[in-house]
Amino acid sequence: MTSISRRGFGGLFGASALGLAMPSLAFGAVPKVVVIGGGAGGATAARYLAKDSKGALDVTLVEASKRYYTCFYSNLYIGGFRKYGSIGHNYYGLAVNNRINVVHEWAASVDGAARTVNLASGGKLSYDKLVLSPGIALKYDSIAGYSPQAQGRMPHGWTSGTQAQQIRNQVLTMKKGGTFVMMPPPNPYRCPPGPYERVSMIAHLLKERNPTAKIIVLDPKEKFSKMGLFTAGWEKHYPGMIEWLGPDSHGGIKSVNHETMEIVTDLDTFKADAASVVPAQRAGSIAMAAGVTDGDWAPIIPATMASKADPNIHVLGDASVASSMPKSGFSANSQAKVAANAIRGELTGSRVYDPRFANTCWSLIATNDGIKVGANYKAGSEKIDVVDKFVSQGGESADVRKTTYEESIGWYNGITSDMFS
Amino acid sequence: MFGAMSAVMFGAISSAAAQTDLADQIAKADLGYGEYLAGECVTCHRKSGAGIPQINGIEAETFVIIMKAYRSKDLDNKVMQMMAGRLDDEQIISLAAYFSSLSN
Repeated sequence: MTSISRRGFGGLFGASALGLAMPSLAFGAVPKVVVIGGGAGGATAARYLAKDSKGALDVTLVEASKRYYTCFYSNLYIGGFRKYGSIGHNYYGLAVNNRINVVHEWAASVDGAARTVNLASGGKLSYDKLVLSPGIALKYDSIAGYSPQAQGRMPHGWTSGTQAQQIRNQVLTMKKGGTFVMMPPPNPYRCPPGPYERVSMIAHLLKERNPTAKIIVLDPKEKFSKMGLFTAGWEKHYPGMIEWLGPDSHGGIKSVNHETMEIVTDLDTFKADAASVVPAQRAGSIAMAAGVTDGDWAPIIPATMASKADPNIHVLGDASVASSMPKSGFSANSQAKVAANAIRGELTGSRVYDPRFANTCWSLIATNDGIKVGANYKAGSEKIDVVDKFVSQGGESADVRKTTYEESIGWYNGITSDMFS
Repeated sequence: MFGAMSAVMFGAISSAAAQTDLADQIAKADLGYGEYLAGECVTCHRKSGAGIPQINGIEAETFVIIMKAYRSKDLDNKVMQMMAGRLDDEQIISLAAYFSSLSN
């Protein structure tokens, strides 16, 4: 009895959705799902849709890049804990092992009424269900003076790849005793602990190669994820090297200039020898083009991740308003499985189980000093609600911190295998 | 709490009967449900690799014992305590049946 009520979603979607969705499909035609975005949300969704439907769905993945560099662990690459190649992944497993039609092009627009996706090349894809997992776009104009032209000298590094290489190169070539300025973004943004792990990894690199250098963090926020753990770690491993300044101290960020490498705040002007400037963010542009956003992000129905604006479009990961869940690769991977289960149920009549979500964010402060924060979630009617949560404690033993770091390596291998194998 | 108490009170009486009962439940478990629930596990646990144990092909009874110990916080790992914390007995058994059915 318990199991029937818990799996009652099968009845909810199975019956009603069959009635709604099936008539629109031609007899004998295999329903089509198009997934836009080949990151933690989209790659996982495409793989689970294809793998679990065993040929009952025609799955196409649209992803412009032929090689995907994960944002997660890009800080560890900057710090020298990972080789660049080790955070790059290709789409062979999805195309060959899972028989997904992988299209390396840009999606330009979506016609929700006609259920088609227009590619930038002029090609067209039709769908019964569309999954949008485009990640973030950067709001360059959120910081006066910042632009795509500034990002070479003041890399944001918030989309991994070449930008992460530019940051590492800047740190390695910075003058002795120089100043690195890190500007984290305002909320909400991808990877809440990311800017502070980046500061840790840059400090690690400088401690080895340029120990008299300084890092100034100009934060638009008064507090940040795992703040106590990070600041205690900075004092322990990098005493005197990192100065974190919130709005109370700098008075607000006014502008940046990538030619003079100056950052102007209300109370002071900072001259950087190297800098990473991360602007405010919004949903990836295709979500805007598809008309599923409200403001900067796309509202969703928690139980299915379906857009509130269009029931045939599901939005995953950073681009969605997943309320309590942080914008992370782990969250996107978790949401992808919920969406894939709901979509399969609707298009093929397969059983739909209770939606369940989880997230954990691991961060590395220094060699073998890992911390983590996580929660699991359930689908409320309006929001994704927290069921339980945890965070690493201050003063944990070196053994616990080392185990936490090793666990993060296991997670990296696990999630990338879950996305791409 | 009830689990711990019942283990103390009845554990000594009929462990053989309890084992038969568990084996029976595993044999009757819903593999499809186990596979769905396993989606939460395989974000971290994979076929091979260091840092996080490989659980494909694990003995079902061992899986059940370990997961219940995480649920009761007798085993130490914050992620696993949280993940096991919201699984009921039937869900743990479904997962045990699924992972034990895989080749390692």
